[in-house]
Amino acid sequence: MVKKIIFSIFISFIIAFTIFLGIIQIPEKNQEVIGQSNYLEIQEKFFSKDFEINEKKIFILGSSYIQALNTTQINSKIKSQCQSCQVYNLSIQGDSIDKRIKIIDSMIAVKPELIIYGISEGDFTHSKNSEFNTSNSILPNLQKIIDTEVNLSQYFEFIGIPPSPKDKTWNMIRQINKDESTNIRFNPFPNTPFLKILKANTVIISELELKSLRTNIQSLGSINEPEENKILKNLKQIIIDFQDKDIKIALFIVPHHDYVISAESLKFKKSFEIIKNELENTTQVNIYPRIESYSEMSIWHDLHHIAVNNKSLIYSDDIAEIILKELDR
Amino acid sequence: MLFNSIDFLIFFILVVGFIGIVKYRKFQHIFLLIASYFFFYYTSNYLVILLIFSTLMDYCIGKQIWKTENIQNKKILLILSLIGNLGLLGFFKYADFAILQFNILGEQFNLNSEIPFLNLALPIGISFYTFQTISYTVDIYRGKLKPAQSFKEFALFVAFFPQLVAGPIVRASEFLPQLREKIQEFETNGKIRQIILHNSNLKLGITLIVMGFFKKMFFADNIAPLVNEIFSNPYGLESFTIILGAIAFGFQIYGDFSGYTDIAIGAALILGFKLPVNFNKPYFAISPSDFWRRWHISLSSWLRDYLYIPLGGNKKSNARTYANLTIVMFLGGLWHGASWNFVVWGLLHGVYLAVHKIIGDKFPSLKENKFLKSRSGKIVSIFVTQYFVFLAWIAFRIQDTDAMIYAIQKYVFLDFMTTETIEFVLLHKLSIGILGLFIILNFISYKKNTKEVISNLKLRYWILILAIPISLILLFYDATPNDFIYFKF
Repeated sequence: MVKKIIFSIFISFIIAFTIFLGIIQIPEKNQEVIGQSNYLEIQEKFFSKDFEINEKKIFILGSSYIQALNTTQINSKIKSQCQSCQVYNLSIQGDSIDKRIKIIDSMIAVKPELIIYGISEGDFTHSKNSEFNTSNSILPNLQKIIDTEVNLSQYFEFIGIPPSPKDKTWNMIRQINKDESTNIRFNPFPNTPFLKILKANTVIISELELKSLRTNIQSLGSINEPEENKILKNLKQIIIDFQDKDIKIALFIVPHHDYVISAESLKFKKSFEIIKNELENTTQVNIYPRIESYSEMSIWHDLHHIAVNNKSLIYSDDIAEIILKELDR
Repeated sequence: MLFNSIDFLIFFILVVGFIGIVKYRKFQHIFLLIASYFFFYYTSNYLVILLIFSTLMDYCIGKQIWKTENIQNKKILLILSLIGNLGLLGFFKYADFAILQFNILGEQFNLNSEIPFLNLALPIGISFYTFQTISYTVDIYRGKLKPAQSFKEFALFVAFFPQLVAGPIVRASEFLPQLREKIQEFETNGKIRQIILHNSNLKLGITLIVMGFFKKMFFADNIAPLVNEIFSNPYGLESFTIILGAIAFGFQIYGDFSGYTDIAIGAALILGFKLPVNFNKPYFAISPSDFWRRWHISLSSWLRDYLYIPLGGNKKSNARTYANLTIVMFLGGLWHGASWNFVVWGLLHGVYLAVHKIIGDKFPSLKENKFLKSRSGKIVSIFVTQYFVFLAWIAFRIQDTDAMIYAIQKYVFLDFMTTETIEFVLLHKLSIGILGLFIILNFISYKKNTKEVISNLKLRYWILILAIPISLILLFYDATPNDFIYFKF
């Protein structure tokens, strides 16, 4: 009987898991975004195309946090100083440093003039909000060891389960009964080959809505020390690879609303400072700080993303200035 | 190790699998003890030393109390145990709180010296296991319990992983006999018991675990954003929004804590141990005292047996009884955390209990009142009781004193404004829908024990019924799971 019960709960789990997989893998309508399966393929296709020979390519790298960067606006700003420059916003939704390192060789092959990489605290974290601080302990931290060695999330990703099914479920529930047209994805600007945004991403939300989102802020987890931080190592490698080929590279901290930043602990902020210092000291790369005044502006789509909207062009203008500074170096 | 993490699921399956395969009873018990320490060490690292210290201290003192004939010496040993346990609890949990109060006081008197904070890590579960060990030595002192026959057994009683972090607070008299073949009340004789996975325990245990996860991950965690939205900054909110927040928090904490308890009881049951019930439909309580017979039962009964009765209970004057009730609830509030809002919450409940007792004493005929005994009378009693219970939840939830006072004022003195409440409800209709569903399910399960009903179903129906909450648990799984609220205490 015990075996029967164990078998039954196993069956129950299989049924539940099938339902779960069935629901969680329903793609969003008209979705043509880069996923796990076509990540390398689509990018390699892009980098193997024939670029104009005299064109000085400037690549802006990052995740959805840079999707609001308007290439038309940036190009118009920098053309006065660099006529042959062409800015590409290579934002990929859900991108990470660990993924991007896989495509660096193809990127180097097209010889860009300058790389501007948008990073944030979340890029360097490993998420465990209940983790006990054992930094002063002489005893081994089993949780950390298992997290690092086993890293279950990679297996979930492999079978198509998002890191947080809850987020996707909520998004799907919210999509029900919504206008079909809001699900159509499109390229907002020229030279944004991997960017497919929803019409909804263009919406600037009110202060009241921003405030209501504040309560959903989840801890970003914790940032490992530089010597234990694999993501930092990968980013350093990316920077060194570019620098070795005489390709200029600079980093900037992507904007997040002040509600997000103030929700993080002092320890977390300090850890990120240590990461930044380590990057600057070991690679001599310029890291441009987050522009905090954005928090006071009505330009936000949510607490992490500036809306892809003409009212948020200030973001593009500021990045254009960074590009000009870097070109002058 | 959070219950709602994959780490725990893997750990638990391994433990159950091992216990199921290895039949050698002594080895089973040792393995369970090692697994429990591993569970604690995994999350709390070196703080496991405190757990071992507390266990060693009370094991030795318990034995000495039992051996000693001299009453005076028994008393000294008991006081030693209390100082040790409460000292640990006080130092780790309340030291910084005390320093803060001292510094504030110093500022008032212009003493230009501040004591620096210790910034100690709060050892997870310390409030729970110290209460367990205190009950052990007190019960031996009172002659109600024989000491555990071996250190291993006592250590397992203290560290048993399903209830280690947030209870239920188990008494040694309930747990130790379960380690032996012959189960007699207050006796710990007999051969060590072999742990066998029983059909009924397994089925009910799994059902409890699934339902516990369901309450926590589907209901509590999805109601939480609504509560946070209201109480993170309640200023300017309308009365009805505050009431909605209080109700939402009441159900969030119920889903969270009773969910945790269901998982703990279920996990223990699969391993063949019965843990005490901690919740019994608290929001159907018809009086404040009835509420405390239904909410966090293991804590309220602990406070009754080890605090209220030693203070004199209701055996002395009426005034003393009312004072005792208030003192006990004040300390019960403080037990939850080093913060004034918990003190206010405890005091409110103390006042409720005292006032209820005063009314009962002044108007004894109320007990026989026909209306109050009728169905509609009970419904009215439930609503009146819950009105006060939810009012107290505001104090529990809001740490900032000014914000708490504002919210309580709005809750008590209704402004009858609805414009922003309607806007708020429309903005949060999904969370409110989940809250509504949870309330409805609580009503439906009023008369029947849903978990037992489900576990008694035929296997094929059981599979299908459980697949529904499991699917929802998976769909609402979060990569960064929310801590259980009571893990902080």
